[in-house]
Amino acid sequence: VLGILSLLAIAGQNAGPLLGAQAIALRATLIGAAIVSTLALGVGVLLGVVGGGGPRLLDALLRLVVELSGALPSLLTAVFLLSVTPGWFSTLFALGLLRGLDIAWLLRSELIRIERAERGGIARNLGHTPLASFFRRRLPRAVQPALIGTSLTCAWLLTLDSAVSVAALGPRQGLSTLGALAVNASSAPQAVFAVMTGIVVSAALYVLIRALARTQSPPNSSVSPPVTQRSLRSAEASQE
Amino acid sequence: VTLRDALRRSLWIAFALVIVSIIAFWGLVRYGERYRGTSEATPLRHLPVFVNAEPRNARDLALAAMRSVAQDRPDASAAKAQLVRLGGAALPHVLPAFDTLDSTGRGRVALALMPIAERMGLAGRGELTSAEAAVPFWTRFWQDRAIDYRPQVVRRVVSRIAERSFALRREDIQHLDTYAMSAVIAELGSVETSEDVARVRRLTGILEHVTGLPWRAERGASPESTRKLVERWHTFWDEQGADFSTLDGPRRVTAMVTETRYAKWLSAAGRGGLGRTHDGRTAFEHVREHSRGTLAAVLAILVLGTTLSLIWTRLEELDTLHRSTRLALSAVGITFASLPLPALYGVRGGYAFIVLAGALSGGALISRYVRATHRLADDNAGTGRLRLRTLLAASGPTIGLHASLAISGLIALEIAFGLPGLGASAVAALRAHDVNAWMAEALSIALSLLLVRHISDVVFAATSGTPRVFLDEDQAAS
Repeated sequence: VLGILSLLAIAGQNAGPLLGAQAIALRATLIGAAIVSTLALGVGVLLGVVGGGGPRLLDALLRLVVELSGALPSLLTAVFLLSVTPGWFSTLFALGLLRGLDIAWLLRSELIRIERAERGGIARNLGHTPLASFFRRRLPRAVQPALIGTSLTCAWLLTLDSAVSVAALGPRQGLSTLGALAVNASSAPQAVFAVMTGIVVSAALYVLIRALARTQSPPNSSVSPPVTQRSLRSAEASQE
Repeated sequence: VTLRDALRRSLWIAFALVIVSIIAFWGLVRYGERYRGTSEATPLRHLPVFVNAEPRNARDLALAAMRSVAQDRPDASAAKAQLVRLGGAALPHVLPAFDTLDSTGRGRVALALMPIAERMGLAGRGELTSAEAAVPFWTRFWQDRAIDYRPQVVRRVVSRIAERSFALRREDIQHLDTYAMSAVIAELGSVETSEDVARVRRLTGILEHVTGLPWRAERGASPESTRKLVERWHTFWDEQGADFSTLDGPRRVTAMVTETRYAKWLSAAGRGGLGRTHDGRTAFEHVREHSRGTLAAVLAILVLGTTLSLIWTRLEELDTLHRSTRLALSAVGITFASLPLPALYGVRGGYAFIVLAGALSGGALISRYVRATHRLADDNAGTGRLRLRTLLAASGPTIGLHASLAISGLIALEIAFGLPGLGASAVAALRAHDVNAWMAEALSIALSLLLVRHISDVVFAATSGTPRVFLDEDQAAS
């Protein structure tokens, strides 16, 4: 609906160049989102596993890095990354690492939460070794928020992109992304169309990765179901 | 939260702020170099940012200028000006080195030093215009006065004149010229009473004479204006003091850190008020003026956003999709309807819109995380208060992460609506390379974010350690 409204908005205008600019901006945004999301998920899962399942020292180190990276607003961190990185791709790489820290924190927190909730006993009682318990039970459950975080990375990137353009802190020329186009558009329809395209792309990526997250959702058939209040109640009911 | 935990977290926040200050300072410098060509407006641009491997000092500058003048190099005229600027601070290094120069070079240097003798009141204008007269003059001067060029002697003379003015003592200090500057600056002290004003007037008179800068306290000046004047002299000393000081032994090692831009900022911030901004106010006043609306908005966004996310998640859990959809649409509708608020109600309207938009987007984001976490346990999460605790535990880690992005959005909206908030002000300071304003604002924002993160951490720790998802082990065993 938003897409149709946007097309209606630009009807009567010079649609050709407008759509061309949108296509270029869309391509740059999608490439950026793909690089940042992939890197963020990879780095996030790796660091999250180390933080949530590894030695406490590494967890403390992760905490230190995450806290420092989050102590400044993402906008200012992004501006600094733009200042210190030599090119566009290296900036995306750095943003991927930055986002990866957020995802690692989510994963680590969830791993710890599940560990505390299970109190370490249930899975071992069911016959799993601690390692198997970690990789077959806790990690698949804990990775869900990390996947949601990854699915929202495109929206995160677009917000930063727009904020940097609004604040006029980044490079004045040479960047053509949806966020920059929305802010620096030459006409109102172009800006509206860029905003709408950004929302649609973010929503599409969110839905896509969320669907992937659901297909990975535990429990799977190889893992015994946990003993829960509901299962206990149903067992009591069946006994009665 | 125990007292020990609170103390540990406070220390941790202080440590994090130190690291953030280094990052923010480095970011400011790099941003200036990348997007403003160079940090051309910075008076400290000759200094390295964090480590100064070769700190400048009076000896190096004086000897380099002396060699240049003696050998009549192409930059000799600049070197002569440098010797005059260094004044008395150069004499303990240049005059004993006369013997190392050939007679022609010695004559050139002696003549180049004559403006200093005029400033000291030792020679009249136009006297001693030949090298034959100038060299014996300086040789005699050093034989007579070398004993006065010692830090202890200078400190004693300056402290006496700070206490009470005597023409003879003024003359003594005048003969030391810029060599006495560090002691004079140190004696400026704080300004509270009219006696302090009189002392500063005496001392700034000396400083005005040796530097040529017209910054002297007027007769009958108020303590407030005198304080500003003292601060100006301290700033001058921060920027150029090393040129008039000699660094030996431990002082040279210390100067590797203190003679940097970061240390100069720290020094300015430590003098009170976090230093002066470009508009002349203290950075603390600057932050206080701009932070009220911004911090209130951030707090409202986080509280409303978290509440909204919990309600949203709960409605989804109850399988009342139509209710959650209705809530979502209402929130979106209210936000869009509030779009004219900034135009209609100015600053308050602007912040109202920012809070609504931030709470809506924050609520949506946090609810997705909470839902993803909570969906896994919704069979087991109990009811009522237990379920609320489970929801809070799930939202804990995401609040801190959301706060960083929320402030980014807030900064952009403050700029877009022209609101005088902390974020917009910080961005303006970054663009204008206003070091003191930028650092004060960046640290205020960082402190807010760190506090939010620690509070969300406490919420997470307090709610995630309870046996709510699965049965207790003893129950499971039974």
